[in-house]
Amino acid sequence: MKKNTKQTIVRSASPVAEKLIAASRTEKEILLKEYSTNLKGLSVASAQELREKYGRNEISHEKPKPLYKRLIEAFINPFTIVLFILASVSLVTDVILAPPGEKKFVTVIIICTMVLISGFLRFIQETRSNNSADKLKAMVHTTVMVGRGDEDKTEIPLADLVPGDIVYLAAGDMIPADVRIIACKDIFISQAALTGESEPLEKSAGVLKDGGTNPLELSNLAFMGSNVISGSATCIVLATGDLTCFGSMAKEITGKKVVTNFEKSVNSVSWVLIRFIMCMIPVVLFVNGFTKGDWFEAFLFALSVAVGLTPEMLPMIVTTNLAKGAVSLAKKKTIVKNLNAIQNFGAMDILCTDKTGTLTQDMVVLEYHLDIHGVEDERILRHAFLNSYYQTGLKNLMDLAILKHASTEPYRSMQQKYTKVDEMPFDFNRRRMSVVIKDLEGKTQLITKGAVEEMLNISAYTEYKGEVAPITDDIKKEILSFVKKLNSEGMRVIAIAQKNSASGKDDFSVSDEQDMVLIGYLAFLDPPKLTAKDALKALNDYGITVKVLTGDNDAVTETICEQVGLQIGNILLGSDVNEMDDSELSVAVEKTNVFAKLSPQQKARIVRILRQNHHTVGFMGDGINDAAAMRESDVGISVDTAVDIAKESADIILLEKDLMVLEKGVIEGRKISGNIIKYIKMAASSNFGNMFSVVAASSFLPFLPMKPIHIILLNLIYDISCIAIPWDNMDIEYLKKPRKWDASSLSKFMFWIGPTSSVFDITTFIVMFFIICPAVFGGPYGAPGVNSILFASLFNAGWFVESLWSQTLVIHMIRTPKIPFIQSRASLPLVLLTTASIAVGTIIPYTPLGDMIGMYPMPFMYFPWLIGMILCYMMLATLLKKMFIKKFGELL
Amino acid sequence: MLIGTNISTAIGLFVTLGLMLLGLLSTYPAVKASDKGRNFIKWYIFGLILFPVALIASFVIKSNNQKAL
Repeated sequence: MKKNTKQTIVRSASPVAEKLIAASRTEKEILLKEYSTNLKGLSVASAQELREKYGRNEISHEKPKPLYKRLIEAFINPFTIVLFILASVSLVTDVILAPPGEKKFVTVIIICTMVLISGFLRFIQETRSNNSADKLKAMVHTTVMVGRGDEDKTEIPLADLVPGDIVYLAAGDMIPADVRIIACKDIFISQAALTGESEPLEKSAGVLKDGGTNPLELSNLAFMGSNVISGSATCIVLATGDLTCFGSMAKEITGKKVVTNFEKSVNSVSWVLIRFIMCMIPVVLFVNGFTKGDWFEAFLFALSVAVGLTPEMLPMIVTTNLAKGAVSLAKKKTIVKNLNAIQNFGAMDILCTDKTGTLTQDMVVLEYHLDIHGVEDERILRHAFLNSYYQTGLKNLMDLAILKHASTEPYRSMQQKYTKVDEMPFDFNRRRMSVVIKDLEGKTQLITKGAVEEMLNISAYTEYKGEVAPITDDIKKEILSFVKKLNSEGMRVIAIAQKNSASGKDDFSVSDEQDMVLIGYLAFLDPPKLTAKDALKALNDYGITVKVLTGDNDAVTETICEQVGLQIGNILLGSDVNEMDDSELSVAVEKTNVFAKLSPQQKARIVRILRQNHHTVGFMGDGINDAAAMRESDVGISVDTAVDIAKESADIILLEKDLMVLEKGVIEGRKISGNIIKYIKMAASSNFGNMFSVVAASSFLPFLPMKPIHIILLNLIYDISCIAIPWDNMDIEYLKKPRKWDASSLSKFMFWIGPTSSVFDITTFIVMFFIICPAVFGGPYGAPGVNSILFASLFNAGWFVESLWSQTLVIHMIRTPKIPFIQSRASLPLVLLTTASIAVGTIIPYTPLGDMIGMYPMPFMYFPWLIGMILCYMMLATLLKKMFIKKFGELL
Repeated sequence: MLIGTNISTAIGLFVTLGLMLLGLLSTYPAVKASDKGRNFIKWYIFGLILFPVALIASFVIKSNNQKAL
């Protein structure tokens, strides 16, 4: 499930509202004077002074939490709270209420050690993760274009902005601070993040003498947190950081995060286990109390069983996995902005991607500039050059390809021969953009370039070799046919039109784009990426279906897809999508892998429909027209060169716009979520199994099967062996398929695999009680001459060691559906740590510590039984694993 | 094996072990029968009650899945 941050904004004036309202009512010149700036912007020295006065352009609530707060949060989770309570109880019973000379601190110390290990490890991992995240986020550059009086326009980090700065905004930019617009062209801004309103608002530059009392409604102001949808503007910064509308409302904004499916499942596992513990403990207490008669001992035993059943390492394992995974992904050029997206990354089975820059090289080459009859004509390029040169909005790859000629003649001198009068920026509905220029003689000309079909719609004439004639159907057919031929060769084509305008007219709008004279077109080659074919095959091999969602035309898209080896099942155009209702589209999207001529809203709709069809959908994009679809997807993927709004909407940012990088990131994501799922299933199933053992032991044995201190020590050793799980490998077969978290699989797993270790615990009880202990002490329990205390001590030691072996080997059994050690081996850290844990635990009964805690060393004859039981356990577990996989399809 | 006076302990542990083993092993004929199109729960109960018979039957029965084809 996609993470959304829903915000409730109070529409009342903030502390800075009065200042903003006053600025909206002030003339531009007076405002510039008030802020000690001019149209060229602040000087470097002034900007530095102001930065020292106002501080960095950052919001307080985004600043990192203090150390003590992070430390406390690392220790606070349901499990450590349970352990704190148990430690407190133990402190009271074993120390405070115990008679002098019988005070025992060991239990309290061990419980506290477990809490400290879990808490500190979690704190360390979170700190490392936060530090890495800060470094990683710094790699994702968000900058703003400002005027620096003594220099040209320059890009500076957002945080360096100060009041009085002159900023230049273009389509796709996030508004970096609260600003007053002093000049603009058809600028539309989305204030959805502040007001919840999805419709972009048109803004203006004029003074508002009577604009109302809510700054958010004033059309000549723009606010931090909003973004530019289209158009361009020059603005003066009024307020930064906490002094902005957004910053001052930060305390009133209730940021309620909707938790992901994965987070909910991990939390529900925790509560299921806690409920198990709460149910089991009274049962264990009463069974032991009634059967043994010693209620105090039964109480202590129940307490220690509660400690043993508590998977206190779960929060640490989840955090460590995610944190380690994020760092590991960064090494693979993938920056995770939202840690919880990692699980969705691993579960992703459909990737929707744009064509340009992903399947094609981010390098558009201008191949031809042709007149309407398809003959090369330099005049077409000159017009296109003027259009691209004078537009102030977002320059796309085609503009950049045209502007490559800027340093050559005649283009270099053209820059001195014309001045710009006006412009109508590009938008995704109109699909064209225009500039109005004036030459040295005062002749004004409107030059428009855009998509061929849209240009034909606004053109009434054509021009060929100086002759202007009305556009006819035959000419239209000829043009479209020629363009289609170019498209089929993989070229993108845009048309150029112009018209002379009445002199003296300074203000133009979209309505002037009519009765144009079509003069020709430009053909660009967007060659496919060399790595695209291999990358698509690799993604396919890993179970990810790639669907191309592009705003480009279908002919070019089809050619590119064929060149990169993408099998085209079906192509749908935006117009086709519009004609379908949701139920028809939900069928069509399954059969279609190429969608062309899509608007941003259509992209978002397709993503939504795919998610409704129970797919986990990733959307990869870098443009303004991708932001809506990214927000709709389960995983939004962008690149660090994307427009601000795309980066803001993304959960994951690639440092290279390359599907190969994405493939590596997906594999790492599956590894991370696999390790988390592994521990959860292991903890849940072994705890479930332990409950059977404990109840059986309590019911039928005449003494406690393990002393409380033994259970707690066992738990400590086991916890230490689990520390290495985040560093474990996953089988190649596991990584080959998308892995969706399915909470219902946990309960099935618990019931099937859990009781396996119980069987061998009970076998151990039988072997110890009826074979080994009688052999050592010369008779059955309770017989004359048999030391009952030592009998019980040996029994405790025997079960302690067997329990440690079987619990630790569960890690190796459950991590893979294959035969452990033979067909699949754990990572070296995990093997070493588990081996060390087993070794330490086995030696304890032979040490003074063992004697101190009441263990009797096991005789040599114990070990063949132990090895035999462990081998039988592994065989039974393997059989059950295979049956589980046969029944349910997968183990993890 | 020395039981001595611990008869209730012996009975309790052996019966528990037997029941648990039965419960686990009964999954085998149930899964086998389920593969052949039979009801898993019914076959599991069958295995709990008459494990040897259920085990042999699970091998012997014909697959319903082939009949459907």
